[in-house]
Amino acid sequence: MSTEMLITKAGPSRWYQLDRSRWYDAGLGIGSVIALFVLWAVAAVITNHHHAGLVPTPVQVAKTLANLTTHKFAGHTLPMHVLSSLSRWGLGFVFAIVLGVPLGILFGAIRLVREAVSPIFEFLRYIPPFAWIPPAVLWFGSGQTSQALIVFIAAFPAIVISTQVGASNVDPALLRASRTLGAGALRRLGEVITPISLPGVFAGVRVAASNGWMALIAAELIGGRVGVGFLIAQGEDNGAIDIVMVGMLAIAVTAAILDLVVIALSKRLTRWRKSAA
Amino acid sequence: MPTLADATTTAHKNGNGDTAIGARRRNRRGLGNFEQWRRFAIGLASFVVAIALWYLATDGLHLVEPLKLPSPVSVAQRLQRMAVHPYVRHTLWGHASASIQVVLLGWLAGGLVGAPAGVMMAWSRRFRAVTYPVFHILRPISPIAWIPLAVTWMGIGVQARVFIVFIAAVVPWVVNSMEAVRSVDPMLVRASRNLGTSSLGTLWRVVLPASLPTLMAGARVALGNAWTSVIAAELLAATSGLGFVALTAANALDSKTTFGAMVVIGAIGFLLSALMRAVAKLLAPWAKGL
Repeated sequence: MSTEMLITKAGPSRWYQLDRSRWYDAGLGIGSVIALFVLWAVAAVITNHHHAGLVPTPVQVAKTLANLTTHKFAGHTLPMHVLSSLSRWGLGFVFAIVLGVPLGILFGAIRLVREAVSPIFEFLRYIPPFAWIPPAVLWFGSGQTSQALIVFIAAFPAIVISTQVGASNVDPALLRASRTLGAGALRRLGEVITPISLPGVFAGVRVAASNGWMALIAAELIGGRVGVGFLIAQGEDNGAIDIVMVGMLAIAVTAAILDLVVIALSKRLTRWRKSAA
Repeated sequence: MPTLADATTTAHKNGNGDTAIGARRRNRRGLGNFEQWRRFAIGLASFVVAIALWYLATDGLHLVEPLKLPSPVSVAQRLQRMAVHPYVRHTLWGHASASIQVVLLGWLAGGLVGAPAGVMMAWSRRFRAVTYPVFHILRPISPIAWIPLAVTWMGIGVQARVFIVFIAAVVPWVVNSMEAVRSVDPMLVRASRNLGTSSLGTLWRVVLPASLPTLMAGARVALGNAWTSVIAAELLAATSGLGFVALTAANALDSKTTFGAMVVIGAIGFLLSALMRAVAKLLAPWAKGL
């Protein structure tokens, strides 16, 4: 049994560490990933006997991926579909930040506002972002505007709430001190409240980025003329499962890249945290 | 797979909102009774004001056309009618219970697979070495992206939706179960082993009770994710359910039904979360701030 790591080592950081047999463990991991692909290939070969194309082989998917980078499907190449989705994601996301951060700071700073508005926000959060797709269709049809709106709705609450939590973390003593030292309201906002709440804000931004991306994909699956979600929907309609899988891959990779960008940005903007700690 | 319901508090743990440790911190105890009542009163008042504003914008002053935003009265009336008269084959209750059934099935399946897997990933290093890379490769594929594949493989029946909900729920189940076991004080484990308890005995009698509160919080996050994803799945692959009702009505420009369905979706989401909190309190009464 591998409980030895529990017993011989103290401190929670040790739980994550690999030591002597790290190569052995890495080998197991690589082996299981290879096994996953082998299983996939076997499943593809078996199902192809009865339903051709229902499960494409990994090789087929890789070929389709290479093909779609240069050849158009559903009107555009894969990179163009991804960029098109990203543009709508960016639009909704930027709006969510521009409106959400000030609102969150307001909630955090004024207690009565927070207490009055947060129950409504709490309730709205229980409505999944996808549930806003039908009303967005009612309001704007199923075009680009309604998709950007979906991204906004999916991203907005996470940003507002995390900003509010971040802003209400500010020690009132610090505010009083800076006030005594002559800082005006704007300076207190810029030099005290913003730096202190920034890490919390970024936590929300990270969730918001991923929420918005997922909601956009759902919206594109339901209606649209361009985008990765649309690409997948078209692949499904044409019975081209390899294209569906390529689209899934593109969605996951884009989501991972967006997440990395937000993390990098947050590290960059809160560099002072480490030096302070 | 993030859920809005736990977005803020879990975010700092991992960006996907799968971890529940933060969620447990939300409701701190120790508020005075008066303070609680004050908050409740303010919250209630703001709800009343919000609905009053909604009414004024629609029936009161006719600022918005009913197609874009129906009045609260007409939505309530529509819900009342749907409770008795079927809308696309089922009454409101039929659609709601269709959604809830899919959620519970997928969530349970996610728990049956995810919770033991997560516990084992934290407990056994070899198990983790084998399973974690595969989990890590599959995890970034969002449940939404699985929908077309599920529909192709399983049709638009219940299986496809349960599969989607399973994918959405299993990730927080695994992540939180792993986190729950990892957060157990190693001293407890060493003491138990020293006193002669076997490895499995320690897991069962020491680690699991100690990690139960986090496990329960993870179950709640998983249920929230499940509820979110079932709505998405119903938009694309269903002939019943509240998400299906909302979209069908929107396509027919029947805004009252769309908004009625959304109100019910929000209410059930809230009830599921409250229910999970109550169950967690019952099962792990020693946990603070659940």
